[in-house]
Amino acid sequence: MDPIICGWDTAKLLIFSDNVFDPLIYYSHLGPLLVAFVVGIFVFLTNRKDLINRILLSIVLFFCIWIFFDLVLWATEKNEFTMFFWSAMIFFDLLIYSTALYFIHVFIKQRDLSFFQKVLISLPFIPLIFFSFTRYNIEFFDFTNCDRDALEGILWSYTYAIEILYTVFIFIEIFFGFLKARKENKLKRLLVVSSGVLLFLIAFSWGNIAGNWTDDWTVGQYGLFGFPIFVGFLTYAIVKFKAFDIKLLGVQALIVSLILLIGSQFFFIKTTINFILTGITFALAVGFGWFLIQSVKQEVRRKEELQKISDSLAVTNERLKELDNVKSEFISIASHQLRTPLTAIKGYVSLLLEGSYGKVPMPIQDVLNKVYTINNRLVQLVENLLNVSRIEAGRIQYNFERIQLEPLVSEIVDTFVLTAKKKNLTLTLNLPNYVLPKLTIDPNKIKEVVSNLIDNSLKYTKEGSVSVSVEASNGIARVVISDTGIGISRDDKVKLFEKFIRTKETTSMFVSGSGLGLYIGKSFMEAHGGKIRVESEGVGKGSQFIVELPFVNPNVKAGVSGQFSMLGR
Amino acid sequence: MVKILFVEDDFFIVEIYKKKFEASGFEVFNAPSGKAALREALAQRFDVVLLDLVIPEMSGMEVLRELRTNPEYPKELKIVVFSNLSSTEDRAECLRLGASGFVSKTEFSPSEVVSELNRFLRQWSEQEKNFTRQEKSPAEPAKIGKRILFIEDEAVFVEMFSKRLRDEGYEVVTKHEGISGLNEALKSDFDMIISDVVMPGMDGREIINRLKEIEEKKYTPIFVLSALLEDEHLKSLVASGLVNRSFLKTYITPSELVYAVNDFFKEKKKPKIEESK
Repeated sequence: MDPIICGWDTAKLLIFSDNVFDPLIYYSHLGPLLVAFVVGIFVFLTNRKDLINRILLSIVLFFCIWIFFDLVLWATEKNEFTMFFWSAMIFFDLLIYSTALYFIHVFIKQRDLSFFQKVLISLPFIPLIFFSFTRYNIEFFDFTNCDRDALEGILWSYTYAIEILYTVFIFIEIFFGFLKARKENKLKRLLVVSSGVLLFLIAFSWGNIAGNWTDDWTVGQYGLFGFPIFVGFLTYAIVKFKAFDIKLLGVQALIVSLILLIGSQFFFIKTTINFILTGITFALAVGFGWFLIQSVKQEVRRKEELQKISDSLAVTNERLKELDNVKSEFISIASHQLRTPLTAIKGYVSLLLEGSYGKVPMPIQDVLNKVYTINNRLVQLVENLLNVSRIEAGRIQYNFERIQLEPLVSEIVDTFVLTAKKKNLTLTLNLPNYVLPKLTIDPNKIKEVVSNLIDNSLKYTKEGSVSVSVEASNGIARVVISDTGIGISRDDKVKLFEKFIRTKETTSMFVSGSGLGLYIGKSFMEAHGGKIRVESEGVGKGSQFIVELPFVNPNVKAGVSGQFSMLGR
Repeated sequence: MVKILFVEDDFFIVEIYKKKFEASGFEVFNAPSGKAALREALAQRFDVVLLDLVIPEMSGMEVLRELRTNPEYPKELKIVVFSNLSSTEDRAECLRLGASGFVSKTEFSPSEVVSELNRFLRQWSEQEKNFTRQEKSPAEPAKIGKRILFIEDEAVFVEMFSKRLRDEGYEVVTKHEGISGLNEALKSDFDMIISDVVMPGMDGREIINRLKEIEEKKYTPIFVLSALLEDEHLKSLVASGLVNRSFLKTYITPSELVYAVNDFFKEKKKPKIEESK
């Protein structure tokens, strides 16, 4: 086997030459090598401390070395190189199998091998150390032709036997792994990873088996394409189950292959100008590639951080909602418990007043009447509290009717004339000089909202006036209640419509008041597709409450007359 | 129709209340001064005088004294003081002079005044019934001849509502929880069952569903008395027609329950008579 006879030229970097029996060898070797290398490094970098990632990287590195050795022995023109690399390959052949076993064990058991197991798995290497460079490895090398024919010795048969044994172990590990993995998610993951490992080993050994048996090394080369399959499976498993960013992987793979591709151009360049041009391109690709990877990495990190923050926010929000529910539930239970004594007081006082227990003198009747009245007020308060929990549970019922707004408002204002008069306040009602269209509203709910607003205005206005106007524009009817009262500060305006909120000014004027009226009003108006809002120049400058009702209630389908009674039930 | 003499000089206020009262089926006459009030009270028969204390010509207090001391005015005329004045001395003086009740102008909205007056009217008619019944005592109340089963776990309600039903003349059997309530309902015949909803042992809904499955018990009218009317199950129960009427406990007095029971039996009788004809 003489380079001159065989027409061999000098191999660049030991591996690039025309000496190979088939150019296919570069695709079958370098392609998988590239993919494996990038993925291995990437997976390793996602978590350097993770044992499984380290093992995967080892497999990838052993595989890369193996590939390199294999290329050398096909491409080199020097016989001693062929001999050396062929002999050395036996180590990495076995290393790949043993690390594959290690990998699958750690993956399934989720823990490292014990020291004893590690020793056991390493024992088969001892003969290799002693006999690698003896005739037991490569028994015979045919120097008479240019086919690089070698007769592999007993050491190779031994190695293949050990490899078969390891493969059997891998099967056993996988089998028990399936028995243990009951959960759907884990099972799927195991299936993906184990079939990846097995496919790889089959593809890997295919080269040797097919090469040895058929002497057709071309067919054997296809086996190496199995490695990307294995890596692909692993990547899928990681992406699917470990949630890392595929974008980053894609960019890194692209950049690295681009750089390698440009780099490989150096071996084919013949002119200096091309060399310089390629050099510049290479440098630019490396530079921009690095920046691109950095920026994508940063983006991914930022996204992950955002995700973490929003996750914790979601948890906090969930907790707050829970607390709110607990509180409303408490109110509901407490109010329910309150109802029993209230009912008893109401009932017994009424029986006493009606003389069921004998004649009651007038002065005592008068007192009992007061008790009855005050008790009824308490009943109303409890009902309001229950209303809040009902609103929160979405159990408020609405009876929508098509009615005229103006008479409803003037009726409400009528009920406050006396209160206003007593406080020496002017209460005025301004109705529009045109007729508003009929609105689809629940009159009782609107009454409650508007009454509450007028009542508030009268309560919190010491002198001056309260005016109620009905107006309409742009398909929206408005009831505006303006007063010259205590006004509302900017801070309070924001939270005024939340439950149990009372402004500092109101608490200093009246101790009573639950702070529920506006909250209830707000949710009633929302059910009408309307709004309730407040305007005030500030404390002491009066306030203006505006109730807005759309002409067409979006919560009730127009033209369906049955709808109203249906909702009413 | 109940006739009211409304003694009030502020025309504005008169308008508001007149509207309210008339909408509720009262007949209202206005007297703008004390003298006019006394004149009207002689000329017509009124059921109630709604008396403002601050009026022209005479004070309300003087009108009250005249109405109560002059034998020309009917004794059974009820006088409700309708005023802002609420000092203890004023109230005591009015009571001494013979006022039948007070309604504070500022404390109540016009519609609440109407319901207050309605409550007073009911109270007075009940008082009358009770006194005549008690005068006859120790004789038992007149029997109506209807048996009612009352199932309720709260002892205080059992006592309160069943006392009122018995006073009315109903025979009442009380049970304190669901299971014995159902057993009682199965054992003997009742003209009506009044039941609570949330109870230990057996739920009111369950009792109703069981009874409706039995042919002989199916047509026994059922009233439901509950503390939670917004409860979805109860709603569906009422909607399904299994229950004849339902009441929210906090909104009902014993007498109001009795009226509802009375009305129900009265209503039931009518079509039956027509059928027999």
